Amino acid sequence: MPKRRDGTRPDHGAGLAGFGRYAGPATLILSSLADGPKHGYALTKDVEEFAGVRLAPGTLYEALARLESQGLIEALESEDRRRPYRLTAAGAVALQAHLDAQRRVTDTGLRRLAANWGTA
Amino acid sequence: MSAARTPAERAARLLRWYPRVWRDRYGEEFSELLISDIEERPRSAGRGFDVARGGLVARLAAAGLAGRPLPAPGTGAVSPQVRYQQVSASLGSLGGVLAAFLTVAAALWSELVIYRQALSPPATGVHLPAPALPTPAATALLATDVISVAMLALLALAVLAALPVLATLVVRLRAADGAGRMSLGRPAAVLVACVTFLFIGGRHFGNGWPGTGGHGSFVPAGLAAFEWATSLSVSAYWAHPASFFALFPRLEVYWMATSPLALAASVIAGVVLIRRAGLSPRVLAVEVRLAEAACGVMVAVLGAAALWVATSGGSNLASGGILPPFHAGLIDLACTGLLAIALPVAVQASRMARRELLFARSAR
Repeated sequence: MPKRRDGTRPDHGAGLAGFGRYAGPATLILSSLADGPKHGYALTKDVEEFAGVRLAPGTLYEALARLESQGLIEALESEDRRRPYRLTAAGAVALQAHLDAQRRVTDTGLRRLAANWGTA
Repeated sequence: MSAARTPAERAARLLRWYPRVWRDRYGEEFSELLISDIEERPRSAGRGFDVARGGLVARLAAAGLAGRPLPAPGTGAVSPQVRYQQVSASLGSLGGVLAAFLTVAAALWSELVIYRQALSPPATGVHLPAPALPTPAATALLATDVISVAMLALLALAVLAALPVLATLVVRLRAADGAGRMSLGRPAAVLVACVTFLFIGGRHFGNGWPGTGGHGSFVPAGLAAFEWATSLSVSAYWAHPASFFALFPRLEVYWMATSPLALAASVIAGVVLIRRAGLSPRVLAVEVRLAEAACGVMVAVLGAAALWVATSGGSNLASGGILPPFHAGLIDLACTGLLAIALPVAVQASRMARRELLFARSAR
């Protein structure tokens, strides 16, 4: 992502490009919320089920705070002490773009493996 | 014993890693997640580490040194107001780091100027013993001059930065009601008390300055003596308690023990005031520019100190057991290390302040 003249990067519409090491947890969270709103523990269980990765509580909430501050998810009114989150329209666009980019990498890798190594 | 604690108690304990502002926003829901996680996996070493790391990151963010400001509950947006508060937090942290940097740099600089004084021909009637020392390294003299100029520049920048903050505080204190006045009045009282203590002590013990002030340098004598006196606590004598108590008068020992505490209290009070003052966007913009200039000057101080330590000949003794002039000991190496740690923290705070200022402006 290009920097501004002052050396900073734009904060809005950045998708997952500026997430650094939180890009992985952010992708998992957005993918989980694409199926509907969930609170923290439900998110952890869902991600564990579809990705085989257990997001630790601290990591989960660091990623949630970042996603929320960038407007990619939003907090809903909580019925109890557990606050659910849902994907926003901007979050859906960012997730789509990120997964498309990942799919291009995956497709390329699989195609090259098949051509040169006879696998996949 | 930790095994006897309930999941809720363990979660509450883990939550303490996070700053209050974070707990206000995420505390309840995060506790619920922790309780569920603890019930499912009672023993998990990774969980404690993960929460501690997340808490430290959140504390750095609250101090304006990392991450982003927290979004408002419900809206998910970060308002310009919150971003300006984050700029104040970054500037407060930078002010604290700069105070520590100045203290350590003053200790190094005092030592260099005293060396220089000892090597210079007596011009003011003060005759210090002048043993037959080798010619001082030109790099050390250069370092002395660079740090002298830089210290003056840092002090000037600190004064320039403090003036608009003080003006804002006066206006806020006049306009504040009872609670608001207390919120600003308490840290202001602590700051005034500590600065008064440091001023009186610095002036008193500055009379013992072994040089003629900033002899051969650009720093006025009174200021040089004051800087020396207020940084007396930065001393290798702490590692040698026997000679420490034998060499120094009791009152000076008390001063060396209490002055860093007063300095720390005044820095904390100053940081609280900067965060609570509600500085205007225009003042914040000026402060950010001054902060960036201060970082540039800090680079010069660190570079000069590193040059001196690297070229001083280390702990090699000259013939006859006389330390070479401008000799840098372990304490100087440690001080330079502290400066090297403080500089990137200050740069990071300045960078974060600039970033949030730009976002706040673009969001208005």
